[in-house]
Amino acid sequence: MTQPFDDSQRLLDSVKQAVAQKRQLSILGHGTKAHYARSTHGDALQSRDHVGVIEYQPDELTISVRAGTPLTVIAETLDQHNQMLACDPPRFFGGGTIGGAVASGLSGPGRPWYGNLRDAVLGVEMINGLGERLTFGGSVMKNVAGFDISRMMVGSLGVFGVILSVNLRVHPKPEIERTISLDLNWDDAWSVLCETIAKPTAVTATCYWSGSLYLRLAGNRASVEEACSSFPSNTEIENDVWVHLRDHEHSFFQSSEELRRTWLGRGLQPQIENDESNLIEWAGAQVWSFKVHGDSAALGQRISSEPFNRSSAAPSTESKYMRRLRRAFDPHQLFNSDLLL
Amino acid sequence: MSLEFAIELIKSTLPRDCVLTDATATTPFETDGLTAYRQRPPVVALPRDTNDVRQVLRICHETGVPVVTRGAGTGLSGGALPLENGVLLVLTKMNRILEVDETGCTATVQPGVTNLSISDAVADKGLYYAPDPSSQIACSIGGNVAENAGGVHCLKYGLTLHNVLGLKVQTIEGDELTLGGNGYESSGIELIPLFVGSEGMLGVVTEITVKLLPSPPCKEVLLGAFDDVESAGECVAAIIARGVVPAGLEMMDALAIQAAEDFVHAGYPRDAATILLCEVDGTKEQVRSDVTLIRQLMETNGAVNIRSASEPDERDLLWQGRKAAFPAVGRISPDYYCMDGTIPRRFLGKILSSIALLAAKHELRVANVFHAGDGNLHPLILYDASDDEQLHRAERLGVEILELCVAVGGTVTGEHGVGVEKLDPMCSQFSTPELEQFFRLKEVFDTSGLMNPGKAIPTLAHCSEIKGMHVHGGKLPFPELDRF
Repeated sequence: MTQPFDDSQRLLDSVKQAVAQKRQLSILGHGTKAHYARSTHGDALQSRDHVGVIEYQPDELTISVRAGTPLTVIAETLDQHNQMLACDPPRFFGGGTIGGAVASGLSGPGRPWYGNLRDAVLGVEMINGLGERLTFGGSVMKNVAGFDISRMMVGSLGVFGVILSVNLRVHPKPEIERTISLDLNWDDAWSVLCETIAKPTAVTATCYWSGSLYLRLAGNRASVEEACSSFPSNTEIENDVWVHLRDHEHSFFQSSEELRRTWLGRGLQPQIENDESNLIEWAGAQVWSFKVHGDSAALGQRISSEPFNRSSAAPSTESKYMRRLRRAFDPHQLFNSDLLL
Repeated sequence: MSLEFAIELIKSTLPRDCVLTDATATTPFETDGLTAYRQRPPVVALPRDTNDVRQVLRICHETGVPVVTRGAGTGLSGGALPLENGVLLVLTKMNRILEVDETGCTATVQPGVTNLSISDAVADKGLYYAPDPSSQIACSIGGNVAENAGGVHCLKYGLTLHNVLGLKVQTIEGDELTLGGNGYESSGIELIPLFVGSEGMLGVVTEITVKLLPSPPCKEVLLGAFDDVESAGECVAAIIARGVVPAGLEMMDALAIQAAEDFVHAGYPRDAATILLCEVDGTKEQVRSDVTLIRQLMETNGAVNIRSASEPDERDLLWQGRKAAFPAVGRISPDYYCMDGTIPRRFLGKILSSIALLAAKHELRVANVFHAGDGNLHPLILYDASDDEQLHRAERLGVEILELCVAVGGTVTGEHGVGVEKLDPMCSQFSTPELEQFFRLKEVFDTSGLMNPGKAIPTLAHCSEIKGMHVHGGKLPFPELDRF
């Protein structure tokens, strides 16, 4: 399944054929994020066979991969050189491709400290709605030639075209990682969270749930030990908790109710009850909750609060430009045409 | 006619001191940091606030007059070069820091605020704004956004793009777009990457929210001198491979070292072929272990001389030589032409030898300054602008250097932008459908093509002219050069 294979010609032919026959396409990788955003209009265009690491240069901190490459394969490849994809995109159901990760733009619990996938993208190769194979960006860290189309692809849900390959910046893994848990009420936890943004600390992920604050501390041994000792009465727990949170396998996420995601501005304390109904990540900037717990306005001043399901998202305020932008890439509305922006 | 009408309308809308039309007043705006190109603007508008910007854009939209937006004018690619028939919109009066949020570590500023003044304003809170282009004393944050400016600390802290959280943009049609905000993500498609680095081609940025970082408690700079460029290059690769991401990692060649040393007396070894400057920052424990490792790697990769500086004064002195490298080179030549190609770092040795060959062919000297950590090269071509023929040779050499960068998988511009300067090499980096896609994208936000027209993206007609010039009988120029 993970043998490198260049399926780009078939993908290109399929798009050209769709243009000629005026048919629509829904782009599909592993399909692990169907609950988040899944197009059902048109013929399925499978990118999962377009697989493989095209080039990996550990000492340049760059990797170039085909869109169908599983996230697990990328992680294993990077691990051989003690490197990682810092933004740590979710692997729901243990799967997912890099193309799907780029299209959905989701980030793991380390987002405020390690950046998101957009920050890591250096270049893309894509097929637009005219059936043209285009390359934007490159494989170098700094590149300001032309508009930054490659980073715009992150989170675009495939509406601009089919991603063929992605060049990414990678990060060295920290020497050690440790996770501690602190029993704190929400106000005290909030003070700790503010410090993780305003002060140089070893913290690289946070989560507050059910009266406990989890902190991931990373760096060299001396600085992580120093950081651990600065939190009195902490309990060390397994690092796995971050994988469970990232992939929504943590017990909090086990509910049949509708999952909501709320984003807040940095430094704004979410107003929550001290109960199990909210799980707070990203130093307070991302709050998960279930519809059953009612009015999310209680969360305070927020950027957005919506179901974790982009398929039904309302058009954004910049929708006039969004429609034009979509037409600029996909004049025949070929790709994922039922997904709104 | 429409230009004159537009000027009258602007004069009747903005206060008198915000509109310049006299040659004596407008001449200082005829060029930006790329002084080889000059065009006196027929009118300079200096808006006081967002509303003034909207008025000027509305007038340009209604009269069909193009508009070029400019900040402090320190750009190095001619992006703010005025048009003979257009309005120059200069945002330097909009220079207020609107809000600093100490808890969330963000600052919301107007575009005319200088880069360094953001860090100065928040220093007492233990915060700073990370991107630090060499012109940071003078350059404006609006210009940084337009160019996606870098600096010596991008390897660890990213470009302007990575440090901008929100933008307010005015379009020529009269809409205000609010992109991002003060959080990490925002709903819908992220347009911030499109506007950062768009060189004034899509809209006018009137408000910027940036991320502030906590100042690292500990910093140390190491200087390693090497007898040859290759060893220094291998040392850089070794540092990164061992998992250290330095805050800054810079390389200079012999000519640049000598010029900088004669200028600022930083204590650089004048006889070295190359020096590496490496800054690490973080907690005391982290810095201590990184410095030990880097020193070891410098030694094993053949450094002949290693110095370290942990006190602020000593560190600043070492950086001063690097940051003053451009003016230092300016002292040893009447003019210099600064290139900005980026390459995958492993090709450094080959590129530098090729640059030396090309320079010899064109009978020009080149000093090399290099953001070694991220592969961004700044060859400085020394020439005399009073000699037209020399300028022509310098430009030819520049284009050929950039073609080499593209040939090894790099780019024609890492952080200075395309502007008017790199339109030719853009033709070698992008295909016809790619350029057409760029133009379709520009049209989304600028339907009438009035925002900084003629910059950043070459027209297809331009490229076909260029290609005719470069390729004769299907042969690449200078076939004797290795294309790797």
